[in-house]
Amino acid sequence: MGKSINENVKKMISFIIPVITVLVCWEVVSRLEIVNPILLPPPTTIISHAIILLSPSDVGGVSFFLERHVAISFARILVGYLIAAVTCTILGLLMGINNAVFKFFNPLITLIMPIPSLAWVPVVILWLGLGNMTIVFVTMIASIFPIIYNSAAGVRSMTIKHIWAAEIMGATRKTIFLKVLLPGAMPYIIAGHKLALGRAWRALVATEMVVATGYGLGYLIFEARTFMDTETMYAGIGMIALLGLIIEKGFFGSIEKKTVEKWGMSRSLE
Amino acid sequence: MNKSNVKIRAKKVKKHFHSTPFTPGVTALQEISLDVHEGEFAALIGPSGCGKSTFLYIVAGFEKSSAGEILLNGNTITRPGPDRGIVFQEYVLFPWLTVEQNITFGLEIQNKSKAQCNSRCQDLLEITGLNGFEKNYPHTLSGGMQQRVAIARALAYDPEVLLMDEPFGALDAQTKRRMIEDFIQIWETMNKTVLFVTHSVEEALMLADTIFLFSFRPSKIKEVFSVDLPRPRDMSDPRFVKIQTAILHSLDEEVEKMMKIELNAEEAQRK
Repeated sequence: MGKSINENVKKMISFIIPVITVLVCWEVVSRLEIVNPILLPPPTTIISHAIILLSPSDVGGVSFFLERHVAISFARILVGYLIAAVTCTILGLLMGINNAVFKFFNPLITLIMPIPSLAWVPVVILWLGLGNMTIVFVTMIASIFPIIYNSAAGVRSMTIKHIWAAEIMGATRKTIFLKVLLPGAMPYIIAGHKLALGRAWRALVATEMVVATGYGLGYLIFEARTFMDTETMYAGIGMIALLGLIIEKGFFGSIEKKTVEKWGMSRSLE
Repeated sequence: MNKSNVKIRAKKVKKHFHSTPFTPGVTALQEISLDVHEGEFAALIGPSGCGKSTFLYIVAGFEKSSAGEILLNGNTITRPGPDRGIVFQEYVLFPWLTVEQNITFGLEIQNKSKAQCNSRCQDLLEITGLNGFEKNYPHTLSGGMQQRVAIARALAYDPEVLLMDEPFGALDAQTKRRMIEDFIQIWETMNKTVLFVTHSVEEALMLADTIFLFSFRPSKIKEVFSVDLPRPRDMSDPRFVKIQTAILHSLDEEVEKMMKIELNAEEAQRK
């Protein structure tokens, strides 16, 4: 056990070193005014500013409580992503096991997929107005395709021999799906959801900038620009990176450790 | 061994594969007729591409024959079923299950109780020499050990016939020799009818009671060899060598045919 804690510390250090290096260079460049510190404030200033924004005292401007913007952005992405996650995983799996379903949906998906999620924003605004619904909807659209494609590909990645091996033991179609195809598709499904959440984040922040609801990280960054409040802008961008990291390492990382890495179906890059 | 009881009977089995965008149509099996008796260890041998694996898959119920039929205990085989067990060359274990869970997969499907699964699993771990590995995931095991798991998984639900598709083909020479020795013991304890596809004459001679030699496709049974030697067999035994020479000679003729046909096909393509 002691060894594994040591390993984790080592991993963490190897992750932090490049980050710290870049931050230190940035700090120096900014402090020495090689670049205008208003355009590029030093990281220490940004961090202390972020702490002020997080504390429960009103500092004026659009910023008020940073945690509120974070919470609202987080709620929106969660709803949009979860709707897509549930429906599209099911659709993708169905496309994987049934050729008719695949043949029907594949052309539609092929046509719709190249459209950038942001192209939908003006249309969705007309449907759903300038509010949460629009933002959630665009986030959902952004998450759809990687989930569908990867779930379908995952089911098809299981070799016919795996299915045969279960069939000869007397497995029904239902058992084969639940006990062979579904676990076999896991590496693909997880990869699809990771991509989906990444795309959802991007769509979310961009949509929040366009659909100014008064809340959300995208709104915060965009509005801070009008006050030339670069510290808040960077704090917002930093927050996005931090949340992405938490989702990637905390959520998906732990799922992968418990499943595909343990099963040897996907090698850890660390 | 009860020679009177026919377990598997193939009657004029033919298999034709239709052409696809990637492959031309081909008749793999011309007319295969054979009998395998209860408790018999039968090996199918032949040049690569002769359709011996295809024949095995028809026995398993994975593929359908184009004509003719295969009977198991007198009933025509139409689909896969737990009266048969299969072992593939590539092991084909379920990577998300531990050794133990892989072995009991068939029993759980058949709704056997937890206690039944456990005791059966213990027996098989013992027989296949996997004790101490029950909690391992397949990817942590060597090829030989993974194949032991695959054999245990196929035997766990007590099928009447064990079908093996070049099971030791992917193993290195030393592991293979050891697996053959161990598998003879496993087979002697379990007393199953075995249908064993291989391209190794030596392997077939070490294991089988009867060796069916397939001709090159469209294939027929070219010759049948009985190996009436006690196991474990000595490869330097003159009787062993005699049958070995005969099989190799017959097999070489088929390989020769295969080479000719393939060379001709290549030339035709170049033109």
